[in-house]
Amino acid sequence: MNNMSIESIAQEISEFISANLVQNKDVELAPDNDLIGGELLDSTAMVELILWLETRYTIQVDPMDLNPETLGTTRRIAEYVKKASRSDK
Amino acid sequence: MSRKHLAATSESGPATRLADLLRLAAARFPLKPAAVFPRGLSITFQQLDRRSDQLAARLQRCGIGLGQRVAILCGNSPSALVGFWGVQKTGAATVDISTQLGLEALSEILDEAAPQALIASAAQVQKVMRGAGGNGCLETVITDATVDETAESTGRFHFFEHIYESESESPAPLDAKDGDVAMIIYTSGSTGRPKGVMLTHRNLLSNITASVSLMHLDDTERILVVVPLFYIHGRMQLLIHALIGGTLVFSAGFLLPQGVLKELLEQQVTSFSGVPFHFKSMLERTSMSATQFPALRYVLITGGALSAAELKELAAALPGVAIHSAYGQTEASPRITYMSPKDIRTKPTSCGRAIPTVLVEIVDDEGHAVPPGEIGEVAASGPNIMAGYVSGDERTSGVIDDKGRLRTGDLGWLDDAGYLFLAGRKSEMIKTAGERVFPGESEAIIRALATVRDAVVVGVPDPRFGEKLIAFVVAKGNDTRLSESELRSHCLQALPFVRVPREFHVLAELPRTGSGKPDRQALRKLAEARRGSASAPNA
Repeated sequence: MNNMSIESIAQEISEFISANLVQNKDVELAPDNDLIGGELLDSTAMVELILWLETRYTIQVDPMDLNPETLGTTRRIAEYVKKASRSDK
Repeated sequence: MSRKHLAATSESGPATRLADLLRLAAARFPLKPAAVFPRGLSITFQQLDRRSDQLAARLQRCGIGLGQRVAILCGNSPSALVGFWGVQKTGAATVDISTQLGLEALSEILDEAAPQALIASAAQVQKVMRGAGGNGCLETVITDATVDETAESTGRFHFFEHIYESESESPAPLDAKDGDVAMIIYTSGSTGRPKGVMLTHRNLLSNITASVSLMHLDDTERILVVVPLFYIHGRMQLLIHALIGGTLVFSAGFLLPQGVLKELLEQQVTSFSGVPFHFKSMLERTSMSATQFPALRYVLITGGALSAAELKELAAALPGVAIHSAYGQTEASPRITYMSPKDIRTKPTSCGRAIPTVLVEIVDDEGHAVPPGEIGEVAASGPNIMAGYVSGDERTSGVIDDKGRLRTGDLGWLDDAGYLFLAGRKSEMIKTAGERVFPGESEAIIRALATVRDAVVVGVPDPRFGEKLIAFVVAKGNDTRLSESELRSHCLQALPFVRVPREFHVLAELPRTGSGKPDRQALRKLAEARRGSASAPNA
């Protein structure tokens, strides 16, 4: 995990979302696409995403960090995961 | 503080049609916000009244009126709000459909309901146009998409922007009666297909009037709306706040519950209504217990129950905030029983007493009422019980019995004081994150895959979602290519995420009962056992 780049984490997250959470397969999930504003994910899907992040990257997502600045795009999530992973060590 | 109760009456008499509620609110509170949307957008009762008059006038010019239907496919937007009231003012019924449905399910619903017009966002209009059915509603399309003059010139497409610029504010008088169908809401059905629940003006007015009276609500209310308007939960909030002259504060969404806390504070919200999933998420994943909400007066739990321990935790997190709960279903417009804050403190495991005008009975297999303390099916009757399903099979399917009672499919018992306690389900309904799901729908979708021979979906208890959907699938000819990802992807195309099973297990054969039916109880046990082994700590 520590060796993974932000880009590769973002890619992995995009793949998880596309395969498991998103209905509309026509939506291209680029690293900077807005995950929050549109109708891409519903609230139960977001819970599943957070639970998966915690398991996959062995991190604890702080409730206070649940905001568009940390989880608004796959790139921001990847940056958050990287930071959380370092601070958990 | 004085909390005077305001009834929806005027010199011309009480509201007998839903549209009367907005007319009365606009007359009493013209400059008050009827709704506030994210990013500061708001609309007063007077503006909402005028814009919905303009929409009604346009719809009437397109031939829409009493006895007809208009589908609404919108998220929680100003267009959804104006659209709803505009249709009500024509006397037509709204047809509410989830915006998250796949093409096939959407087409099936539009074919069955056969609406004569459509009010939709740009993305939803495109979805309907891509679909295989339900094209009758494309003859009159009202949309908040950017104006396209070529499309407009066909006479079929009408843009909100132009309607507000040019349309008359004087629709023809409303000729609907209180027994006419006002609203059709599509929800999961026990027969494996979505059901269009037809609710009359009287059904809904009786239910919201009783709710307002029980909860002592008044025009100072500002409720935070986190649920979609296309289900009964959202529609209730809309109608109740029109009745009392309160304000709907639309949340940017429940994706990030911490953001909801911010909205509760910044918008001076007085009330919040959610399903157990919302409250559990806020307790688990926000700083709610460490935050003060000076304006918040009450929360209402519907669509399922919190345990006694969770209620205690919620009360501790929200000191001074009244906790109410209500039990019901869409077919009952929707509320059947109600729990006051005092009831919740004294009988936390009950779901309350029947609301005024509703009779709750516990009945045996023959339909005879059983005495207090005895378990049977919960049956409800009163002015809130639906007119029927669009499909017309409410009686043959047994949902409405020969005495006109709604058979809820829930098992329960009444105590001597008339408090209802639920004790399981007679039907196969699953409640996940407040959404009701009949497994037949998901099963039919999975069985449609060429590689699948059979499928059964069961619900197992889940701490976050109430219940979780688990699918058991048998491959055709023991096809080893059948993968979990293929099954999930197939379901995601057709169903909202919340109705997609969380786990798929491929079995060689399904366990069966003595009569040859799939043994759902055995499958629930198998799901629990597999989950137990999967979550066991590594030795």
